[in-house]
Amino acid sequence: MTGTPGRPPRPPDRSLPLELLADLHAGALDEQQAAELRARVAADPAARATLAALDATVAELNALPSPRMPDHVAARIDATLAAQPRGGSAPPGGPVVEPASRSWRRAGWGGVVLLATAAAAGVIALSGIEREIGGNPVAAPPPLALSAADLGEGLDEALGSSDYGPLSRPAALAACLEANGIAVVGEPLGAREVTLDGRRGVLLVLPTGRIAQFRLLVVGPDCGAGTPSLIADTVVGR
Amino acid sequence: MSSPSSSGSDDDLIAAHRRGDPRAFSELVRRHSDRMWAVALRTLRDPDEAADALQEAFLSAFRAAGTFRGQSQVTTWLHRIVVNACLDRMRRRQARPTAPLPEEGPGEPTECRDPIAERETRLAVADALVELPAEQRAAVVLVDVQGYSIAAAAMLLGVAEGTVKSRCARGRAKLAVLLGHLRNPDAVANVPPEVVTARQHRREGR
Repeated sequence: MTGTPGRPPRPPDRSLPLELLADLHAGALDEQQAAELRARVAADPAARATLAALDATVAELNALPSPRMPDHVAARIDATLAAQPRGGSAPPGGPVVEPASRSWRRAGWGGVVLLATAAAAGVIALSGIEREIGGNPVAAPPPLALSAADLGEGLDEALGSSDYGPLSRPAALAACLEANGIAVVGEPLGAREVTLDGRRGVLLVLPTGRIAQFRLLVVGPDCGAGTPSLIADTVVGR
Repeated sequence: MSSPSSSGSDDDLIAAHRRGDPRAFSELVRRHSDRMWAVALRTLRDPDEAADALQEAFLSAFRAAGTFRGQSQVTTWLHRIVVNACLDRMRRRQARPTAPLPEEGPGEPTECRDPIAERETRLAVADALVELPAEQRAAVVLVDVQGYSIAAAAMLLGVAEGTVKSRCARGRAKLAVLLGHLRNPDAVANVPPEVVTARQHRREGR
């Protein structure tokens, strides 16, 4: 403590250290210390001015507005969570889809916007996909029966699902997407084996660049390099 | 399609998530997203960093939900994961030089309800926060910006209440100088003189 009682205050040189006054202001001192210090502050205009400055600082902090989460950030987080395998919290070592936004974002602001831009340009990333292949396989659900007229109803089932069927190997999926003119740099938002009007295939959910809008691609089981095997390609959502 | 669990409590949502309800966790995140976004944006300042931190945090929570045993409230548990993610990023970023940020980032409110001078002050405050060491910044954001009690902030930060008070005290002292409320920068340790000069110049110049 550097203050000397009785010495006239000479602002801006404080007779009491700022850190000590800040501790007093924050209630960080024990009662005895605080009581002694308050008595000194009462006789020290510079110290009182310092406490007032700390009050003003806190008031400014209090006045900072509380920003709402931007829609595109919420959508990106939604998409990441939706892309996680179903079944809630996976057991340790269970299948987990990594957030693809780590690679999408760096090209600019907004993962979903980027994701969408990439999709609009026919670019889908596959890097970082960790799917359950071999090892402890998860029993695949039976193919989802859809018709071309109600293809959109497959969205809820496919979004976040990792049922890639014959396209389970990332290389096979990449080859299939490339055959359909979709360059590979990311990952789909979900996949589900389906029958579309009786034809076996895989429904892939791809981003479009718009929130809550998805491109649904249905390809046959033989989709691969040079074989698009396209069964349906439509956009659903708002 | 609304989930049957969407109107339940946070505990209900966690339970539904663990049962495999694919919408339960997203609903939980939605409930708390604005508050957590505010914490992330105010501590990290950069909207990209804030978005990444939240995504990492929510993904961690998604994966760890199976281990949540209800010793604390779901909200506290989730907030703590978010605060930890932000602290990690702050510490990493403090290890490298910071680039100047635009005066108005995408994460700042676009609605101007206040006089221009007040708005500039608020932006200056948001900028000044970034100058604080990670631990002090987190404490100040939680207590002074977000309005958490000392006890709640201590729980979220995993430290004693006295530590939160002390960190707030140090942080406020530095901010008081950075914001120009105190004119004697020499009294504050660890505040680079050039930073103080720049802040004061800007505030005095408007």
